[in-house]
Amino acid sequence: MKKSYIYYLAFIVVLSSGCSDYLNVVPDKTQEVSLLFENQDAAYKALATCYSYLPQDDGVYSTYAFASDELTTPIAKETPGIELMRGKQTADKPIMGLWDEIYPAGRTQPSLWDAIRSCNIFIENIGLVKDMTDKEKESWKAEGTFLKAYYHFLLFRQYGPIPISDVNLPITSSVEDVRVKRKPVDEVIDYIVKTIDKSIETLPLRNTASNNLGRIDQVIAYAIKSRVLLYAASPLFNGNAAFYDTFKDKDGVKLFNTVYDKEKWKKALDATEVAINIAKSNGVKMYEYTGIVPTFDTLDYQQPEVKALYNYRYMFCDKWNSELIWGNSDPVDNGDWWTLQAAAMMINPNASAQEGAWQWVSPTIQVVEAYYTKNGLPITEDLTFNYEKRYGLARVTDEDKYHATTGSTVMIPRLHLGREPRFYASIGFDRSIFRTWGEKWNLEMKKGEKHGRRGNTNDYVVTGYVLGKICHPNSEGDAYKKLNAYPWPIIRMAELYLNYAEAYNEYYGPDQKVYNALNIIRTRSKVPTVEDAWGNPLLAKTVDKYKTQIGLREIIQQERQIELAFEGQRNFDVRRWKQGDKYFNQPVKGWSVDGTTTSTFYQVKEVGQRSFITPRDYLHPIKYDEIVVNSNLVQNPGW
Amino acid sequence: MRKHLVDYVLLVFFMLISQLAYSQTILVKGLVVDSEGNPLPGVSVKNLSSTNATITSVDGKYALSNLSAKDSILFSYIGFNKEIRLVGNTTTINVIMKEASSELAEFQVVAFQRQKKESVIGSISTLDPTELKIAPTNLTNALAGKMAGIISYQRSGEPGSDNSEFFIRGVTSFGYKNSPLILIDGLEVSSDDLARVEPDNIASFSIMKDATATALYGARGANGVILVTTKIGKKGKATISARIDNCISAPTQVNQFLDGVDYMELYNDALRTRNPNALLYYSKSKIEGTRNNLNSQLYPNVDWYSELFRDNVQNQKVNMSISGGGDIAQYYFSLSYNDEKGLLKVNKLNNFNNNIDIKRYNMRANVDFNLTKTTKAAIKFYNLIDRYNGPLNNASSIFASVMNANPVNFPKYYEKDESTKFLNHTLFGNKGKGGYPNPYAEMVDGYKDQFTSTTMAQVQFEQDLKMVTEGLKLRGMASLSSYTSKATNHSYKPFYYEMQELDSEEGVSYKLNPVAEGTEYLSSSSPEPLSSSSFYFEVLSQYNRTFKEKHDVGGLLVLTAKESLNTISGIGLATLPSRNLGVSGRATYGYDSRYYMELNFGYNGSEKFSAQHRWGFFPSAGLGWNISNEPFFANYKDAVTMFKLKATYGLVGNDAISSASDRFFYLSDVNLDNGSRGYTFGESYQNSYNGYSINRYSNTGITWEISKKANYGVEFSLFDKVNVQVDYFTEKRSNIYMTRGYIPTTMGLSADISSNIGKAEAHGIDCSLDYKASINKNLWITSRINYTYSTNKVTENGEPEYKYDYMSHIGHPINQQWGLVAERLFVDEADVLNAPIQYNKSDYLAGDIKYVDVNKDGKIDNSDKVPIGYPTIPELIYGFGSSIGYKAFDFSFFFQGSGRSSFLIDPTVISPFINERNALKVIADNHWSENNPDPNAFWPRMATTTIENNEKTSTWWLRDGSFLRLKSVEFGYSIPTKILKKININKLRIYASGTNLLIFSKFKLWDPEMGSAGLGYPPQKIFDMGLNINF
Repeated sequence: MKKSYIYYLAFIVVLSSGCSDYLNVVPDKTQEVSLLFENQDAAYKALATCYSYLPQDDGVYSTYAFASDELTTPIAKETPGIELMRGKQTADKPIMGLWDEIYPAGRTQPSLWDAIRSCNIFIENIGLVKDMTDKEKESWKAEGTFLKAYYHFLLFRQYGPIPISDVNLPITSSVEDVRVKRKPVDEVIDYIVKTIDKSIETLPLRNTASNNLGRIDQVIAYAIKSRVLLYAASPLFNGNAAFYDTFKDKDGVKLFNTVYDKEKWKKALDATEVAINIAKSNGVKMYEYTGIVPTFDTLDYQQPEVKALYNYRYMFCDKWNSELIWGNSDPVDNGDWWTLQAAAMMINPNASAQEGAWQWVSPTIQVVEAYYTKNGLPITEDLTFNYEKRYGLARVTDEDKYHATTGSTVMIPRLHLGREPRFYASIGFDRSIFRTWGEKWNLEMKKGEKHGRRGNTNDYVVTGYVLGKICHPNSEGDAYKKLNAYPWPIIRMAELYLNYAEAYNEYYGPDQKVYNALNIIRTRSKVPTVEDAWGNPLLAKTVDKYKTQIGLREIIQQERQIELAFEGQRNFDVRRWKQGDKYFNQPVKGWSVDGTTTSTFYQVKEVGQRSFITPRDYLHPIKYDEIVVNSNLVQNPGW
Repeated sequence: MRKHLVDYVLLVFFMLISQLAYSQTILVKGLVVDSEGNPLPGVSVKNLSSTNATITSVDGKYALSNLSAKDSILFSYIGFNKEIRLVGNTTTINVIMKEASSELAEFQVVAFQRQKKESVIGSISTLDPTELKIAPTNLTNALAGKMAGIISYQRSGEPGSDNSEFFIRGVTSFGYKNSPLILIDGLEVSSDDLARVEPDNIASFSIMKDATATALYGARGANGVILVTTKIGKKGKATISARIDNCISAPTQVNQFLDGVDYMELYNDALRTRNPNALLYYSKSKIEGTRNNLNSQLYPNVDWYSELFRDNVQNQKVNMSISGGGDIAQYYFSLSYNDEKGLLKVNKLNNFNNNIDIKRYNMRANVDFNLTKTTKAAIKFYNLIDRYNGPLNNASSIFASVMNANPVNFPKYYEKDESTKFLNHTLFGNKGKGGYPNPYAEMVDGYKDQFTSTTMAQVQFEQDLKMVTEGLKLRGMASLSSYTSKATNHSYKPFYYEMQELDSEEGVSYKLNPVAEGTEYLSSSSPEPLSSSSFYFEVLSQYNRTFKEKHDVGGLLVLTAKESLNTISGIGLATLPSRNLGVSGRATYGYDSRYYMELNFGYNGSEKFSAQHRWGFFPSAGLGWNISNEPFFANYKDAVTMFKLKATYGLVGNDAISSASDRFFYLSDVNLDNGSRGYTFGESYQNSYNGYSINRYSNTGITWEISKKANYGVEFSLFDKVNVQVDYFTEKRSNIYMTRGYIPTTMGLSADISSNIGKAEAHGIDCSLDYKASINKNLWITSRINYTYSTNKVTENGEPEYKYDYMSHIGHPINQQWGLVAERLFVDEADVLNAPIQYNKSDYLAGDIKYVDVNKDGKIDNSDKVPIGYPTIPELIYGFGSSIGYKAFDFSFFFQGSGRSSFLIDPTVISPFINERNALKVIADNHWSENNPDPNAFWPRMATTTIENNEKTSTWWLRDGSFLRLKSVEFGYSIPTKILKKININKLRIYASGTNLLIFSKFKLWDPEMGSAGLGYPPQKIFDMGLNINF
């Protein structure tokens, strides 16, 4: 027996001496966040992470361009934006809500709260980097600070009052601490503006080095501040007692101000003025096409209207052009099928492969009708335009020969004749002249024709229109890599002029300064000036409409719709103007694309249902699960 | 249990009577063989009425003289049951000695050792390994219903991926791992390894269920343990045993889809029922053309299922073993080969095989040595080579892909015509840009070739230390195992063609157009090979002694160390070794075969936890009372031959609380080079940086999951024919590692925060009843019933405070499903308008599903979800069967049932027409329509797009998962020994068997055992012809 005790003892000795080492298997220097801030090379990763959360506005499944009355798709191809417009939004499964992680095809969009946390980690730690100067560190920190403010703004834009996350909560926070509350709208705006101001102190004035394009600078920060303050002054967020009088926190705190404050327009106006000036002084200006004109257009290009068409078309997709203030320098991977461009690109009947061309994004008759006539007036206001018979067919005269096929047998609706250059630059229609695949095409869109709908496929444009504006004219669709990628404009100069006009008119009323701002935009596209168009009793039905505040407001809003069409801004503009009921509650219309003859094709048809419930749909729902987890959050009204 | 049993008592009685008969000197000769027909040398042959005795010769023969007719001869041999024969008038008595179930019957395998069966008080079930024989090869599919205490189900029939899920006493944790620890010859193995064990090589198969049975495994035993030991050689002449099987397998059930004409008509109906103005998608001419079979190229009408799959397939299996040995060494050596094929069709134009074809070569060698009188050694070696050839995607997804393509879009491929005949590739059908699924092309466009090898080697020494003290033994064991798997995918890109309709003034014509360019050659890619290896070391000392014939004392102390290494690509920490270190002990005391007591402990350390929480202590204790050995019981002992009560209680742990790549909870896990979190700057997007992401935040407090188990059991035998075992158990799990549910998104965490906060409880009953009897010399019967019931509930899960009580998961089973209560389909538009709004939407119409507003708040949303149905994992598994033998014939059957489970049909998977997908026939037969507004139709109002309202988890899609199936039937015939003798064969049995032949269930759409995965590879019914031969 005794010997056996010795054996036992021997086991235990072996065990106790060897075990502590045996179970220590992890070597030192395992991956910890602190390793990111040891040197500049590593810190770039932390910086890139802060930027990586920027929503992909050029992704077909993440863009807000569909969330409007401007675009639609065949039912089988509905994108989240279309689903949103069709009233498929629910608190159970929010659509495009940046509060939560969302999974559009292509790239997962993490919650912007993750983004904010990453920015805070960056701001807290960037000071630790050893091989950077203090000035560099401050400048980088300002980028993180700006992005934090911008992410708050993106959330604000969707949800209104939101919690503010200026400092990260520790992982070990108690249940009570993590149950954050929503802050009133004014407090959120104050926070965003203050934070942007703070970033401006140390941001570089303007990034011009090739490697740094796409990084935040002062010009960008001032421009975004203009947009933030414009939103804050807009009817949805400024004194909106009609919708949100009773919208309160659990503690009874009102989440919306309900008294209109005119001074908010002044703040927006001042910020915009500063933004315009600083942009101008850094070389930002309205775009003019200076590139090589393709041989097929050398003759036509002599015409001012064709030149205007080039100006507008390339303004959007000519990369890093003079009008761009902030472009997303990380375009959806050099093509691939989840870019908006690929989905909108026309199929080439002569090409052997069609990889990068889907042809199922189509502008609606609504947006077509929004463009001005060549006289710079809405189609309802131009005395020379036969509005009542706009769907009726007419022959294409020489006057429109740069935009449509002429010929004795060609008949197209009046709606497509005598319109402004931005219309012809943005939209292709049956018998129009359209630039794509690096070529100039004469479109033939009826069923059975070469660009028309083919049998049993859902790759077709349901309205009979194709979208040109966001497609680079030189993109070729036989391979993804032949699509011309460009930094999607997050904000560009024209918007600042529009912001200026809007804020000025709201605060002071009509003024030459407002007209001038609008005219800068109109002149670029060869649209007659506001005064020329509206002041001419031979043209304008409501003469001098621009001289009243209300009239001018309508003019500014339409100018904004036209100029920024398909850029993903419309949804937010309509909501901040409280016009959702007016624009987003009607079915979208198109032509009967299954028609094979002129008479059967040109029948106006409802091609998609839309639903907008007031006041519910003015704000996104917070996901049901989030409300369950955090009982301090109140849901937005109506959800 | 097809063993011919001799009623010992009856024979003794018979023998006594025989002594009255008059005597005469007789010489009796004969041959003694074992049950496999091998001659047994050295068997003691003794006249019971005198001292006259002999032993059998090397070839098993004997001769005993001086006998009278009334004498009886006793045949005895170690390890075999005694046999007694009356001499009577015969002069030749051949005896088949039955291997002592003694090894199994009187001793039971327990953790690390064997223990006298009567003294075992832990809850352990054992199974005769022959019961595990199931066609074609997967052992795990034989478990359901065969053993009390196992909850098991098989979801897929795909060769190579058809393992059953199995749980000991059900699922009692909602943590990462809830499957049992599996040990083969003491080594931890995976369920795949268990699946591949050849039943013919198994010596014993048992499961350990309660705390005393598993506590020695410490932190690995909380989910129960399956213990398998393989056969070892026995002293004697080499015996050869072989088994050959040839099976035909076919799906138990095949899904029925619509044909082209019905499909198109229904599609148009579905379009119009939602939007009366919609343009018809399928033209009259296309429908008529298809109906009249005008041209299969222009008007395809494809039955994708039969284009893709064969009706049945043949598989083969051969297993052979040799065993024997002398005084010094004994060996058991086995080789087996099986070939298992799938149901996939192969494109004749390819010269490769895209069907599943698995060839497995399995070798096992166990050699035991008697080095000295007190020293033994053993070497065990096992190797499995698995050559897998199969489709690129798993075959289950190919079955499911039948749902993705409709019958009329295009044929599987176009026939070559004059203009395409020179092409060297198949003209696969497609349309548009070639983006439509063509399941046939996707199936035949390549194959996967995989090689997997598993090797285990083990060496063991045992020293009897009776020179130190009687009953003390010391044993050491070391083993190595390794696993490697390497796959190569070969594939080409299919060429897709579309039949394009050209509508010109001359009329309609057709042209075959290429729509997606493929490749003419195969390209290959190899995913990173997988490999793992482990090292295991064990030193054990045990002490067993009986003092004064009444006091049975036992002790055991064991030290174990285990290290395993895995290749898991990507994450650095995952590649660090896993280590586990433990000391375990057992002390047993038995008094007079009446009272038993047992104390066990396991003390374990694991590398996964921080230093403060690395070691865990798991004690357990048990008591047993064998009432039948009490003096007062003597009167009943004739009827109740055994009666035992037992109770145990203890703790067991579980350190597999999270996946191998998510260990080291005390460290944070940061990916410092994450491409998907990066960003690009620069004029031409040239300045790219990867980002970082946090996969886990550090938490030093993480430790074991703990299970507190109690077991109360009763065992009894009636007339030595009926054995009954009943156990009732309770279990409380705590420290379950889980996500803290109260962290809102606004916290901005990119990973969940988890901790040991979960708790769950389980209880249940498992019982078995065996009946064995020999009715007469020619007829025997055995029967068995098993019943396992286990239910559980969550008692703590860190969930937020819910507004309504029914939303809480606490108090509900772990696998409970929550969903809306579907009342019926909306009758008409007025019905829609009058009902509470469903999910703030207006996209539903008459004929869509109407839900119940449970909380009566005037709207239907997620807060109306209530627990629906039974859990997804069955709470009840049972089985019963019988074997009957008459002379050389035997027949057996076994039924297996499953109850108290529910599953959901997934409407998102079977919704017809979405993206032009296929339609199940049942939908055409039974759906809501304007003409047939049946509020209880199987399918709601049809649509060609997703109607989210109808896809909510709800009782509408809930189905009862219970079933009863005829799991196996077998009919066998053993060729009489007389005939075999002449050709030197000891035994030859031929048999025919059927597996999964019948099923009884309320659910008819597919095999209910598949649950929600009804479109996958169906379980197989198998017809097997086999023969078993011994030399």
